[in-house]
Parts: sequence; C-alpha cells; structure tokens
Amino acid sequence: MKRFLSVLAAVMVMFTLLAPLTVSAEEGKTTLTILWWGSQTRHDLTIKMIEKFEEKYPDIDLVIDYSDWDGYWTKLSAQVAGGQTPDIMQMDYAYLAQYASNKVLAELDSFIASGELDVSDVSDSILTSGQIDGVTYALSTGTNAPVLLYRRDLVEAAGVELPMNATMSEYVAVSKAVYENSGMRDTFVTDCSADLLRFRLRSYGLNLYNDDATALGFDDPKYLVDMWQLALDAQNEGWGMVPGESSAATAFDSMVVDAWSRYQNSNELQAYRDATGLDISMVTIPDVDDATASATYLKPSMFWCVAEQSEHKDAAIKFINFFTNDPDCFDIVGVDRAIPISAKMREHIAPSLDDVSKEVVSFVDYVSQPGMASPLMNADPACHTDVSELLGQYSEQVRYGLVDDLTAFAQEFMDEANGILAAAAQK
Amino acid sequence: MTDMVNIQQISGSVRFRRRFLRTVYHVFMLAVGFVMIYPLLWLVSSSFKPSGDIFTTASSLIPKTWTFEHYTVGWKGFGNYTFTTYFANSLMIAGISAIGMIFSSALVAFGFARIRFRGRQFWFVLMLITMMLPGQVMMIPRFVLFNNMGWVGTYLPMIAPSFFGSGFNIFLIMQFIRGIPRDMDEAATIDGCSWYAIFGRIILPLIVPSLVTVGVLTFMGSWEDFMGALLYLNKPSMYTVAYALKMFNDSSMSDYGATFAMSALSLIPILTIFFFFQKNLVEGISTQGLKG
Amino acid sequence: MQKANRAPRTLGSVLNRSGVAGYVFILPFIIGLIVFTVVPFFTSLYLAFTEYNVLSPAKWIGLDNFRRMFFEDRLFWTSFKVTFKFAMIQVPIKLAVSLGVALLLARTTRLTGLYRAVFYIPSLMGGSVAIALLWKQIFAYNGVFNQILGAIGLPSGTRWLGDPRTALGTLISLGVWQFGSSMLIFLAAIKNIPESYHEAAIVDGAGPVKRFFSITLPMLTPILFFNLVNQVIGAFQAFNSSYLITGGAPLNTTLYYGVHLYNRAFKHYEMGYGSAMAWFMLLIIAFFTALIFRSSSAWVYYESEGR
Repeated sequence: MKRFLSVLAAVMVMFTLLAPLTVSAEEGKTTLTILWWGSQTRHDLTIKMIEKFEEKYPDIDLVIDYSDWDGYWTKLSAQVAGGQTPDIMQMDYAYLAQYASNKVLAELDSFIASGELDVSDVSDSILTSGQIDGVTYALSTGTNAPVLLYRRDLVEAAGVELPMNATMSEYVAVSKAVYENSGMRDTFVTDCSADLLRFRLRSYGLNLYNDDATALGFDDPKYLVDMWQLALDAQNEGWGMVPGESSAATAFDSMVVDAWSRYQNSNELQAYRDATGLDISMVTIPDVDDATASATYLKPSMFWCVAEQSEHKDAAIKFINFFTNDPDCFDIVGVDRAIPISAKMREHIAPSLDDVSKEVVSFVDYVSQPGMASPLMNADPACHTDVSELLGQYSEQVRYGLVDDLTAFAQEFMDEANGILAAAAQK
Repeated sequence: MTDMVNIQQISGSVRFRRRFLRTVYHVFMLAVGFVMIYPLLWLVSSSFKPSGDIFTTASSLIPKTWTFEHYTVGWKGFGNYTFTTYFANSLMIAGISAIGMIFSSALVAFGFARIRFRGRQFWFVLMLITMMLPGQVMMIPRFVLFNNMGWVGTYLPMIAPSFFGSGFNIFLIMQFIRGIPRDMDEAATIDGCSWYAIFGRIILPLIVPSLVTVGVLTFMGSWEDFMGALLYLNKPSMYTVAYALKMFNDSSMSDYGATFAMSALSLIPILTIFFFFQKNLVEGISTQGLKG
Repeated sequence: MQKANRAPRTLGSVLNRSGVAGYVFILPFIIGLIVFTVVPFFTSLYLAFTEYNVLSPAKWIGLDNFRRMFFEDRLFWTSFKVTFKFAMIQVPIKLAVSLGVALLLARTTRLTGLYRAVFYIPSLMGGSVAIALLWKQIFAYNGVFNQILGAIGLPSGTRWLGDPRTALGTLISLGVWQFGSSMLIFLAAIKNIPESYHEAAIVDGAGPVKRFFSITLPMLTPILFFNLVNQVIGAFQAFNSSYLITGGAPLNTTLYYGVHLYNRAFKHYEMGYGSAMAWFMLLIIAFFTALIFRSSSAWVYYESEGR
C-alpha cells in the first residue's frame, strides 16, 4: 500500500514536471505553425517542400502538423476554439465561407496589393474562387475540373463510344449498351445528389443558389423532377443502380464490381487507375440535351489560408508565395495539389510530368478552352451541407419508390430548402 | 458379477457420451471461431494482395499474387518518422495509462464498495452520470481546458486522466469487490488491520482477475484512441499508431493496402498482451486462497 | 461504524475512520472529476442553451435548441426511435451471447486459451476502417453472405444493408459479434467464484444444472448487472457501426442518435444543438439506468451483503 501511494505520488510529480515542456522558438527565428490534410504521398512531398522553404528562408521555422481528411475538420475547429489556429492552413471550398465569415481567416488583398503575394501569373477566375463577398481569403493551390470517369474497356467491349463532351441522351445510350453487354450499371444519373442537380442547373445557366445565397437559384420544380424521373427510368430499365444493390465497399471498387462510370475530380484519375488496375478514362460531365451552357467548370482543388490571429502574417505570405511562384517548390510537389495556378509554373513542370499527370493537364487545358466551361459559381453558403443532406433525404425516398407525385414532392423540397437558406441568411 | 458388468457398461457409455459431447463442443467452437476470426484472416490476406486485387478478389482469402510492398511502404510512415516511432509512442501511452487506471480504479472502487461514509451515494451517482453524457460534446470544452492548462502538444491529456480512474472501470471493480464475503475484512478489523491494510492485503489479491480485465481493456482503448491523438498531438514525432493508420486515407486517395498491413501489425501488441494476461484470468482467484 | 474516539488521536487513527478513509480512497476520482470533468461537463450544459459554431463565441438562445429538437427536427425523433429499437434488441442478445460463450470458455481444456483469443478478436478490431469495409463486402448484394445463402438453396436476393427492413438488424448483428469485452468481464467473474462453493455443492449431490442456477448465476449477478448498465449506456451512445457502414441509410433506418448528434455538431458545426441533444440523451440514459438500479435489489446478489 505504501509503495503504491509513493508510486502514485511520483507519477503526480512527474506530470507537473512534464507539463511546461513546450518547444521554445530558436533565437531570432519566426516560428509558424502549418496544418494540412492528405495522404502518405502528400505528407512526404509537403515535408520535403517545407524543408526546401526553410533552406531558402533561414529566418522562418515551420512547425508542421498534418492529419487525414475526416479528422482535419475536427482538429482545426478545436484549435480555433482554443485560440490556437495554425498560422497557415489548408482549406476546402466547402468550408471556406464558414471559416471566412467567422473571421478565422486573414484577408489577403493587402498582401496582393503590396506585391508580397505575387499573383501576376494567375488568372482572375482563379483568384475570384478564393473570395467571399469580394474579399480574398484564400489562394488556390491548384486547378481541377469535375469529370466523368469511365471504364474504357467496357465501353469498347459494348462496341460503342463515349464522346469527350457527350449530351445526356448520348450518355444514356452508351449506358444502356454497356449494361446489356456487361451488366455494369450507372451510378451517375441515379446519384441524384446536390452536385448532380447543380450540373443540371448549370446546363441552363442557373446555379443551386442565387447570388447572395438567400434562396435556391431556381423556382421551377421541373429540374428536380427531370433529374428524379431519369433516375427512376434508369432503375426501372435496369441500367441504373437500384439503391442498396451495390456490392462495393469503397468508391474504387464500385468501378470494378458495380458501375461503369462515376463522377469525380480530374486529379483523382491516378488514384482510380492504381486502385482498380483497370483502363479508366475521363470525359467531361454530360450536359442535358437542351443545354444552353456548359455545366463544367474549373475549380480550386484546395486553398492555402492564413489565420487572422497570426502574429506573423508576412512570413505566412512568404510561404504561400513560395508555393505559388517558386520553381523549387514545384520541382518537389509537382501536381500533388492539382495543376499549379501560375501559368509560369504550369509551363515549368510540364516536361517532367508522368503520363497520367500529362493526361490530367491536357484535360484541364481542354476544359480551359473558350466555351468549354462556364464560370465557377460562388462559394456555397455555410448551410449548403444542410441543403445537400435534405436533397439526399428526398432523393432517397424517390429512389425507393415511395413518391407518386414528383412535382409536388419537388416543390416541397424547394420550400423547405428555401426556408433553411432564408433562416441562415437572417443570421 | 452382473453388477460389475453393468457398471462397466454404464461408465463406458458415460465415457462415450462425454467424448461425443466434447467433440460437439470443439466442432461448434471451431465453426463459430472461424466466423469470429474471418475478418482478421481477411485483413491479413488483403494486406498481402497487390492494391488492384484487394477489392476485386475480396471474397478470396488466399492472394493470387503475394506482395510485401504494403508492409515496406506502410512502415515508412510519413515524412521523417516511421512506424517504429508510432509504435513506441503508442506502447508508452497505453502502458502507462493501463497501469494508472488499474491502481486508481482499484482504490476508488474499494472506497465505494466497502467503506460507508457520508456522501458516498452522492459521489457514486455523480460518477454514473458523467458516464452518460455522450463524449462528443465534451471534446471541444475539454480541448479548451487542456489548452488553458498548457497541456496541448504533450501526452498528458491522453495519459493523466487514467490516473484518476474512470467510471466504467471503477464500477466494474466495485462489482467484483462486492462479490467478496465480508467475513475476512471483519476478521482483519478485529486483528487491528486498518482499511488500508484490508485493501492491500486482503482485497487486492482477490480481485486480480478484474484488475487484469481493466488493464487489458484500458490498454486496448488507449491503443485505439484516435481522437485524443488527433486533438492533442501537434508534432509528427509524437504521433501514435491509431493516428498514423488514418493518414493513409485521404478524401480522394486511399492506400488501403498500407492501411491493412499496418492495421494487422497494430493488432500484434494487443493480442500479445491478451494472451499473456488471459493466463492470469485462468489462474485467477480460484486456485489461490479463499478455499475455506 | 463507531467513532474511534477512545483510541489516541494519531494521524493513523484519524485516517482510519470510515468518514476519512472513504474519502482517501475515492480521492483520485474526486480530483479527476474536479480537474478534468467538471468544467467541460458544465460547459457542455451551458452550450446546450446557446448557438455555438465553435469558430466564434457562443450566443445564448435560451430554449431554442430544445424547441427545434422536439418540434422541428424530424431526424431527431427518427434517430431517437432507431436508437431505442437498437438498444432494446442488441442489449439482451449481446448479454446472452457473451454470458453463454463465457460459460463455455470457463472450462479449461487445451484449446480454451486459443478460443478465448479468437472470440475476443472481433472486439479488438472494433471501429477500424477495415471492419467497416469488410462488413459492407459481406452483406453486399453479391456479397459472401448472399452467396452462402444461395449455395444452400435459400433466397439470396436480400439487400441486407440496402433494405429498410433488414439494415438495422444487420448492424445489430455486427454489434453482437463484438461481444468480446463483456465476455472477458464475465470470464473474470466466473473465475472469481470460489471453487469451494462448487465442491460443497457437489458433496451435497447437486448436478451441473442445479449448480449453475444456485451458485454460478447468483454469483454472477453483480457482473451481469454491471454489463447490463454498461451496455445500455453504450447502446444509447452507439455510433461506430452506423457512421462507418451505412451513414444512416437506407431511409434513415440506421440513423443512430449518436450519429445524428455528431453530424449536427461536427459536420454542420452546430455544437450548441449537439450539446442540447447530448443532454437530452443523458436524461434518457439516466432514466433507464435508474430503473435498472431500482430493480437490482430484486435480482442482484452480493456476497458481501450476504442476502
């Protein structure tokens, strides 16, 4: 018992000794914290890149920390709550509005104006993508486009062809042919997610939300009805995936066992080829037949942001500038965070890319041609997750065959979604 | 004479029935055991399959082609730290936590189970209530608290709380103590033993199986604790296995092969500890003391 | 307990008074409670009455979260019902299975050690990504389970995880399959029963069945009670299987309360609303735990209290 108490006491003492053990910065150095999410490759590349940065800027010391995608948002929000926001953080388009409107992020316009952040080789549309209400809070790390990944082997075996920018009926025809030939089904039109609805709306020059996100960007239920009807037809005719019948455990093997096509982003081509070992190709997202605009857009794959509370914003900007304009950076990271936004850097890395990366670059170049893509919509409001989940709930009921009057049901969704948006806008 | 034959026949048929029952028992256990262990076999076999085969040949337990790539790639870890670091960190955290938990919970459990004092009911109910609040909503306030204490970026938030017991473990050990007859402590009290001596000399040796159980469960919980590592560690040199395991998966790129390979390896310490301690469970109390 | 006032008032004698000794023993718990738990615990209670998105300070909104919970959030009641159903089905099955297996494994044969490890393995692999993937594989439309059903001539076209009628059951079976921890606790408890009790009963001519009901089972009731309380709490807080495997689908039939809470608190950054949900859950769990505690005097046997 005595021994036991003394062990306990010793441990308590140990704790009090351990507690103040925090790293103190080296003399005369600016210490910055940086946080990002990613996978093994990205962690390795980023760390090497940061070592290079520290070599070039010996007075700046970066304290690194990284995580996986799921954990990232919990970790970052906890750090913000604790007043420990990292000086530099990676940001996603879906969360940008939320973090900016809560004043977590520093505005970057003054640094752009002073030339500390050099964006002379970056196109305006890319800069705009990091703006909320006209203020720049984030700088894109690279450019992506939404794509339809598909199994070229299955399409060829069915004796058909999928054009680079197919219309919806062309896509449906291919889908039917592939289904008859191989039994593999469609998960693109049957998905009925907010993203899919957005593509449909963009084909008519509309968006999911109006410009200031106070309401939905459309007031005719027909867009929803058309989307649902196509999915129901697909399910009934056999070529569309019936809910619950998928056999895949992950998105990757869904292209092996269930689906011949999938909506993803252009930078994911490599991952899908590696994970499936199959002949996977990409085309642009099919537009509806009576489209008045292209649904496709170029979008930032992710951003760098600086914390509003950072005491060394200028040093943080040096890092972002390094990531945007320095060939030494891209010699290491390549296209890991998608295609560089600076035209000069794109040219710089082009010769050294591997085949898949070249394919991705040429795809983005193809989409960048005039008329191929329409402008990127505003960043989604913070309540987008609510609206998109709500649509998920409605679509699920439709797909399970529980809804008779699609138009009334669509109107019901629109009313409810508008309610959410109006309530959020009031705050 | 006839009696003898009868006895032989009876004991023969009893023996036969016993053997039959034993066979049924083992066949049953092995069959159920296969269902239980199937995921482990699947995990291990998948970790030896090339990335492209993992899901395409998911229902087969024997890889068509064997590869050790996932182990070599996985073990490399991230940046400048390999899984050697992560394993060392996790072992330290889980080991210290388990020891702390065993002692603190045993102490508190004894207090609650054996001693009648004012306020006992109050503290006990309080303990139960703290078990009932879903932990997710305590996460952020707790982070803020540890941050104010200057503990973020150290292992303390992941280790220190286990030195103060947890409701679950205290309650568990309490139930064991309450199963021990009071005659012995009463006799000891008459002999002049203090509460402390009763705890240390009489009760503690008798509740070894429950302490082992608490140790194993705490070790396991700490070993698998991803949230703690995510929130409180902010240097790659401090990362744990549970945290590192998740980092093979990104929103768009997931290296399942490496995840599986390292998951399989991460089970080894817990299984070793389980094998080592389950002997203790077998021997437990029933073969020592308390025979009269 | 009589006051030890006749003995000289040494430190030792003061420390040995029940009123003092009790607090000495539970001191670690009290310190831990005050240092690590009290503040976050009451912070979360405060947050239940606020709008708090984690990124900026909380705003007091009174009972708004609760009004929204009870009258506006459809998924709140859906998830509540799902969780209730889940708890009512899973807890008894899991208890029975873990007790049954523990009894089978209490006998010592050469293979018992191996069996114990094998039966414990599923709990070790609990919330891992690998298990979630595997479970999806097994119960997929063309998965192993349907293949086996087909092979033995049973209907094999059930969408186990996709059919609103079977999805929750499938997840429950996953929960039951991970009975290892409660089995381990039962095993320890069985081993804690003095052999002399069995020996005495055998001398009295009691058979195995009689011995089970008159010795093993009564002696196990304190641990059965513990496992029951613990599993009820655990079931109401269930999270992993739904979050990792179905995400609440199909048609919200597997949307656990814990998952809905997590989605609100972390996906939508509504920590205030999440806290309100958590405190409501605390009340529900407290109610059921109190019921179990009330009933325990009727069926739990404590050797130390010699009833």
